[in-house]
Amino acid sequence: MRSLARAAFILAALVTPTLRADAQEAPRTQSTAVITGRVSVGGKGAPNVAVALYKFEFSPDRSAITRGATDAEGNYRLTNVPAGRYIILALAPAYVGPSEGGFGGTGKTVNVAEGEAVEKLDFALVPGGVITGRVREADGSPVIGERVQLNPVGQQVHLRGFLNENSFMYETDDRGVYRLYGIPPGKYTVSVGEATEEGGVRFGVGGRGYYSRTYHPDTTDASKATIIELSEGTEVTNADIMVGRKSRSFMAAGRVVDEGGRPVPGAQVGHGALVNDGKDLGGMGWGSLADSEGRFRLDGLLPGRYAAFIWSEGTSEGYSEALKFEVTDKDVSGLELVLRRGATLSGVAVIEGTTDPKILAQLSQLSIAVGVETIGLSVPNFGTSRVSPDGSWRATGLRPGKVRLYSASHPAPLNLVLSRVERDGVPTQEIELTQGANVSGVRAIFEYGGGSVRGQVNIANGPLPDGAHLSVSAHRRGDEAGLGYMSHGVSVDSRGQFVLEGMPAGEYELTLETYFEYAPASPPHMFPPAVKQTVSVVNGVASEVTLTLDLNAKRTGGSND
Amino acid sequence: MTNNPTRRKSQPLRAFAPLRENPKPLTQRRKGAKRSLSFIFPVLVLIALAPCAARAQAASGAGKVRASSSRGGAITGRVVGDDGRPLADAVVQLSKAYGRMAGSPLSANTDAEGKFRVTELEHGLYTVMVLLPGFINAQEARSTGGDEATYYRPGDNVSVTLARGGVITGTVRDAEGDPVVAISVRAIRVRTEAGQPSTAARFQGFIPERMTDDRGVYRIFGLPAGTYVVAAGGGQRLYGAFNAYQGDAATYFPSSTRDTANEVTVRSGEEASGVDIRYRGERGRAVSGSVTGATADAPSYGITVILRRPTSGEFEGITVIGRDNKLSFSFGGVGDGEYELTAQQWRGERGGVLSSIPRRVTVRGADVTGLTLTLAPLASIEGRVRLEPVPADEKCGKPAGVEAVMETAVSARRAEKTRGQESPTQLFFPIVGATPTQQGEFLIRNLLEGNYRLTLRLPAETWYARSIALPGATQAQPGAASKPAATSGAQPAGVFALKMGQTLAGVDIPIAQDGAAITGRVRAAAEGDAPPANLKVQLVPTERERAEDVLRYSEVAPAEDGTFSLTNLAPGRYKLLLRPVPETGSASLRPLAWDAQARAQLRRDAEAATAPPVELKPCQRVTDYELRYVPAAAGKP
Repeated sequence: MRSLARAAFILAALVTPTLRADAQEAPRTQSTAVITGRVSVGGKGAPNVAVALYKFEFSPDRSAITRGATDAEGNYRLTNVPAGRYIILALAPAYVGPSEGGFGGTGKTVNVAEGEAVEKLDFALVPGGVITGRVREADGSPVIGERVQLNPVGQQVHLRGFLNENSFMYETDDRGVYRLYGIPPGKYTVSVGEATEEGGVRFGVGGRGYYSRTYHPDTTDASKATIIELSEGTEVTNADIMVGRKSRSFMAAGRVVDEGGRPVPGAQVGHGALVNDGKDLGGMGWGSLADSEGRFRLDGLLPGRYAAFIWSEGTSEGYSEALKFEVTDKDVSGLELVLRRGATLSGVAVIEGTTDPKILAQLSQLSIAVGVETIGLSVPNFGTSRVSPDGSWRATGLRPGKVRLYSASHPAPLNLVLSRVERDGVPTQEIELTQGANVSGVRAIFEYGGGSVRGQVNIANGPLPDGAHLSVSAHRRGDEAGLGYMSHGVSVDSRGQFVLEGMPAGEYELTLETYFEYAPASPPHMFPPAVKQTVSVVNGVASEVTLTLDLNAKRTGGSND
Repeated sequence: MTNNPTRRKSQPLRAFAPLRENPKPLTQRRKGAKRSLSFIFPVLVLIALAPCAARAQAASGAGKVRASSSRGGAITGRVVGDDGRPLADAVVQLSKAYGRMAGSPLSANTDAEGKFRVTELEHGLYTVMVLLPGFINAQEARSTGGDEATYYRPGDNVSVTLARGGVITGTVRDAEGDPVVAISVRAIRVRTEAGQPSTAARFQGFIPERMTDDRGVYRIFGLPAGTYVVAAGGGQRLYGAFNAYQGDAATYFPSSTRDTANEVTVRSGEEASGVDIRYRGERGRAVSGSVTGATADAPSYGITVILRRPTSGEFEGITVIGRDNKLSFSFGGVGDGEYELTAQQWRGERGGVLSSIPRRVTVRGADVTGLTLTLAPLASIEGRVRLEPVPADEKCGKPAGVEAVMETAVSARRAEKTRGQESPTQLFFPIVGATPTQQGEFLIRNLLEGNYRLTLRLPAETWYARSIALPGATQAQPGAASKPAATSGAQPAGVFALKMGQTLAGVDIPIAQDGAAITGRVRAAAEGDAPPANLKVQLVPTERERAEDVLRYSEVAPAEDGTFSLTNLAPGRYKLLLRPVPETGSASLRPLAWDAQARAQLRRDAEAATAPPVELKPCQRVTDYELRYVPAAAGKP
């Protein structure tokens, strides 16, 4: 995996959680659509099931756009639906059904056009199973408030994300009792406690003690766990777990100093577990704030290898390298993190491709992020800057190395895409920064995107396996990777439709890929090869395209994992 | 499936920065899950605290402080059950008083003897919270929720008693008798075990909550003893969304609205079962409007809009807006009632908080729309705590160093008799204050406009504040309270008037170590009689020139055995009186002497009192003072 790509991913996670497309909906009068369908359980219509429509966006606001319930025959009808991208959910938590879009419910994604009648958005549900039991210590005392893990065994089991519906059911109560419901038929093991070999960073209530991962009935050896076979709508009781004694977790303490050795108060110290033979950081935590003497301590560490670092959060003037340490069987002290002076990158941003003063006025709503390439074990580092009304921007606290620019505006105002970066008039994709350097004259060119692509995906030799989803990304010819439009992709809805909007004119290569929402148990051979197709995009026009995914096609070259 | 061991971080500190993303694990991205659409749901991370963990503020018992080295040393203690047996494996969390909003608290586990020890602490004040699932702090169970936290200093030994929490359990069914699955059920304490009105816990808005299982069964545990109402569904919550009940008004046990809800009494360690709810499934009302005055500098932080019941502090709705440049908000599922609506935007560690002035909203059978909330910068008070030299005197203890300043807390309280908040940040932290730096400088941020007094927590009993004033501020005359003054801070002595966005600088607080104390006992007029419970001992200065100096007044509620202790007193002449405690609400938290009329009455009563005044010399400790309860006088309002 390329480090820059990874940096971009982190960046996207940190600064662009809103889907671009959402910003493009302008309120205007339009005729509304109607969505109809049927909810069935075992082929029979299920009455009185709530069906609700939500905007497909990364927003904490989960208010339904509209909702209804099924009638005596299981039919539902949602009216007054404005055009847009949605997820539609059949809200029946004790049942199992399709899950699309990562929303964690029994849902389907749907792109609705203006005035459209969307029909047969059906949900075939099966009653979920129940696993219940009690978690106790050897002396019989209940283990209270411990999270139970439900682990699918063997073949891909399509587990719905329960988090949004009942985040409490995985926790044992004051009697040590847990009850998991709405579980798809399949084979499972259940466990509690921490898997130390994962090198996890433990959050939560800051406990210094933890249970080793223990499986039903009483083993820490995953291969000796009793496998629970759950068929449709059945209940497995007495899935009890007996845990051993709590193990102690540890603390690592140290100081933050500047390059002159003076303490730096108030720095935000983060930490991560070393994974992948110590080459990568996983499971990062915020760690702690350095106190008035620059002292910090990282708590709740399980035995393992870690790295500590300073979170620059894109605003500070400094950065640190990752400082490795190991926790074996005691607390660690004497760590010294050095806050180094970072480099500064500055320049101007301009908008091309339009003369519309309203769009040009959006300049000051743009933000630019500068991501630094991660080499080996280095801490993700980026600087962000808002663009001033005069177009200038400045990012500080950057670690030395190769940097790239990204649009960090969120939401992206109108359809402005960062398409080019120039340094002293020369197009560039990466800029090399030395320690503490001050580089100016970087021009970030945003392009107005007035074109769109409406597509249909046909499946040959289908249907798609359960839990598989499709995503289409677009890459403009001549654009540098990561700069162009929609490199993250949009999902294809349950009817095989997708819409890409806000695209600057040009020749695009569309890539259709299959992915599974819950990857851990999915074998690579289940992925059909990506489908690529070229399409021309013109401002003010919706280009139409049809993509065909052949599930019998074989992947050539390269591995899938 | 996000069933991995990485837990949500349970940090009320973060509650303010609802939209700051938690860094995602780097390893999360993997082939095949190319576009992980799982929500990064920081708000949930921030506000949904590990619900089953007992949130217990440590019991009182602080106070003894020794001057020590530059590093403060350790806070040690012991955690026991209410049967006196030690509790092992409890998590003890220490947080700096008024600490910044990031970073983990310091923590330790109790050992087999229930003991814990956190070492190498820097000087300052700390809160101690003990977490043990299923248990609650015995002291917290008695608290009405509005009290200020107890602070500890390095060197202190803390004793905490935990009691097994109570349980409320039952089944939620709809009109047809079918179980209602995955609906949130909340237990809202309305009174303490002693019958005192209770507001939400220290972390306001934190309400014990569970969801029903596939049989409609819920079980809420770890509850402090008291009287509760129980609600299913309703409001707009940050988690449990995507459920079938969104937009419904809450149904209260047994099948009621809030006004007609039945109460459920819970005792420590006992179970109230059969608390079954017949779910009504009625649509709630909407409360909607828009927010103006947001800053564009940090849009990623978003704007948090909170609708809550002012009496209980319970959130009826909480939402985050502003990330899509739309500044409108809408709460659904609101039941009839009185609410308080506030918007706030956190602008990073340095930027502070923008807030609207909390406004009252009454919902009665109809939607309330078109509300406008205007964000404005909050006010702050800046100043310095300094050590006033005093003649060396053994009785006063060792001469103090900088730690005396660092172990002082300055907090801002509304001077008026309002029920209102001092700060919108109190949605998460009940008291607004600061601890000074090594140089004695303090900065209290995020205050709503209004008139304030500053109160102090001092490092030991022998300390007191000589004055709390702006340089050159004159002593105001009685009755001149509303007269505008040359400096905006000049009000009645010690009262600081703040406008939104204003920073009042230069407040000077000299503290001295030659303070006095009186301890004693309240006795009934006749042998065998017991004085009533709701009494406070009032200390009234008798010198004429101190009549309006609120700092010279002091009050304390006697312990159950009638003993009392008044400390941190300026040398001078005083009389002691007994007064009834005001009935309810935050008025009981406000010293009686803050009110000009009550103060005048105290003075008159003190003059009329026949007992001779007490003369307190510097560093003097008067013990065994006997205060007779005389029904006629004490009963007078």
